[in-house]
Amino acid sequence: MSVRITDLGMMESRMAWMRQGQSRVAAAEQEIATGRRINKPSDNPSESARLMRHDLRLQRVSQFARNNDNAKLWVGTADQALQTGATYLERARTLAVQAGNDTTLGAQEGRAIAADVRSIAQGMMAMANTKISGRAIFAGTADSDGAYDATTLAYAGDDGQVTRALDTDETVVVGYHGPDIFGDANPGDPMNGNVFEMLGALADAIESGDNTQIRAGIEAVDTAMARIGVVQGRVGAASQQLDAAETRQNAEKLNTEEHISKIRDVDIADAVIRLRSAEVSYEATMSATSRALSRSLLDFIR
Amino acid sequence: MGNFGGLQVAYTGLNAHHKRIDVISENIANVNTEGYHRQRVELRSIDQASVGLFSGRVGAGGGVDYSQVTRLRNQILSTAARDQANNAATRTRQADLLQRIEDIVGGLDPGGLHDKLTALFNSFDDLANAPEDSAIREVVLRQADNVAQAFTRTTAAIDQLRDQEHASLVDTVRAVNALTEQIAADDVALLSAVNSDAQPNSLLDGRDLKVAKLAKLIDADVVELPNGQTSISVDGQLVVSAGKSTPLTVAVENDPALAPLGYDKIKVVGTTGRELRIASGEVGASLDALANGIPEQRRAIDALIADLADQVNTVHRGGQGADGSTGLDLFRVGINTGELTVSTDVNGHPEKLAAARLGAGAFDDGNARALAQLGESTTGPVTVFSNAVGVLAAKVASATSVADAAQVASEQATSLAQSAGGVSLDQELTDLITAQRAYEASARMITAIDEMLQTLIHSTGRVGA
Repeated sequence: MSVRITDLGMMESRMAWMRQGQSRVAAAEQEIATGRRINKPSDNPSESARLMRHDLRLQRVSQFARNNDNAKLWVGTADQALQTGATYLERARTLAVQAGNDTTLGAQEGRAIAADVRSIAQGMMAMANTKISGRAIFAGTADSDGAYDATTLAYAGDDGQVTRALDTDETVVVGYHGPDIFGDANPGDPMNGNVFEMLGALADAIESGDNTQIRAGIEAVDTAMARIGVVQGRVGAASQQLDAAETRQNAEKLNTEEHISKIRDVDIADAVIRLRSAEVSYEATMSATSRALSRSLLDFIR
Repeated sequence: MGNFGGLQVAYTGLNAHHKRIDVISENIANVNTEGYHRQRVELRSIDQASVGLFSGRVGAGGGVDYSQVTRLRNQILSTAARDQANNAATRTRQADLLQRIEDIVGGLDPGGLHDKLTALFNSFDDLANAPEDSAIREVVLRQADNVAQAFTRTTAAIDQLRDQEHASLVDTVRAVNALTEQIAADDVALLSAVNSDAQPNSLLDGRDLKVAKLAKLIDADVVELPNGQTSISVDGQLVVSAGKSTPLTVAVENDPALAPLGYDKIKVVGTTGRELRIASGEVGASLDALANGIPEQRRAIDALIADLADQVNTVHRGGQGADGSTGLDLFRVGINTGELTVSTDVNGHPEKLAAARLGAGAFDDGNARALAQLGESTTGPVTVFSNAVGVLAAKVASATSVADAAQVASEQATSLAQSAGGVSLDQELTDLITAQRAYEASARMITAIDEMLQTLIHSTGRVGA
């Protein structure tokens, strides 16, 4: 059927067209104002699902980067402590060699060297009890004041391993056990015990001028240095792992952010063009409407 | 035909076109009146054979009959427009409801549930980094509390939405009752007008407009009776009949299926208390939302809450707190499901957060890490939540496009009905010109006959001047 055009009908349909035009303009404006193509999940359900997945991953990677920072603090602190320890042992070895070689060493000088070695032992003890915000880093996962008890010279920690997560299934060891660094305690045979017992025994030997024991002590110091060297190697490897992980995390963060931006953010040039075209068609509708509504037979009959 | 017959014929022409001009001016006056239908004077020549019938009115002779004024309403198109409006109202209400639920649940909004969940699982990693730090333990508890409160708020908002929907149903049913009452009153007036042989076109327009409004609210079966009255029923319950209206009421009833949610069944009943099945219109959409839509979304949120509590608690129970406590839940789901809180065993006791694996050192972080890993697991609470948001988003998107399409269909149907019954000024003006000319011609006829009669009376038998 041919449709009769009626005034009310014409007005209603023009108004519907103008409403549509107006809402298209408003939608384009909203995109530009918020900078986002997707403001609600229903704006694009499948893209929103991807958006949420990417967002979760981004948050997790940012967290892994925070874990990485924390791990760096631990590994860096351990590295410094071990370096200090190695220097101490170097010094203890020099003193022991000096005491062993110098046959003219008097009792007083022997006592002085022994005192030096004892203070090195104390330094080692302080280094072994290195803490990060109150927690002893060489004590495993134990809740103890320090890794070693300054009186009994015994290990106060446990053999739990301290690790940090660098990714969904990548971890790095950041806490090293006291016994791995300082050797196992052996109260019955201090020279073959841990570093603290050994340095104590070495000091005793220097004080008493027992050359056999001093020689055994020098060997024990070498063993202790080798032990620290092994752990330093592990720390170095961990440090490299952290650097590699950081590079990867930063790259992934950047990529994920870019993905998210591609899905969610408005291409401004494109959005502005769409706004302009929406505006042009809206204005055209309005102008056509104003002309159509002002025309009537009344204009032509007298 | 007698001498004066022509005068009578011309007189009917004058009257008929006068009446046409009256009707045209009525049409023009109502060009913008909602629900007004164009009227037309039905002109019919009076047959010689039927003169007797009309002799009372026009006397002897033919002429034109102008007694019938019809209302140009296409019933099929009007019914179609009513049905489409009913469908559009239903779909729009459904889409509106889903959009409101989507707004409540959120998903992409910063600081929404998704962000809070992610923050909670990230905080488990912070806990793993420093199990010895009681400040961080406190932070984890606050994040857990944030998540719990956000979920509880979400279910509360859905419950509130349900209360609003209930209130709006009561209002809508009240509007239905008001309309049926007015329609019944119109019907009474119509019957007396029809009985007194008047042509109650404007009454009909008003009544039909109310029926059309009623169609948006409720799916009513409308029967137009030959006497001009209507008979309207809703699922078999007569609401307007023979000029009388019957109000509907909203009733509340206990329903074992909805009781676990703390909801009641809401129904619309007629006089006998029978529940009416109303599938469409705003009332139908509200009933559907109350019976299905809202409970379904509430159950979905409840399931998310139960799943989150279950997954986190299972891991948490397997771990050990800094004080050696073990077997404790982190989250507690309220007796009234939909309520999530941080368990009082752990809340306020940060040392009881099970960061350590069972039997490991006090500062072990294995269990905290296991909790953090739940965050990224493909079956973990965050992914389960995202999936639920995705399902809802797809529903909203399709409901919105269906509603838009129904709206367009309704506009088209209305415009078709409007094209049959609406007023076109151009057409009325054209009619006005023809009516005016015909009026003038009829007047000219009278003058002509008058001159003829003058000739007959004054000049008969006279020769020359």
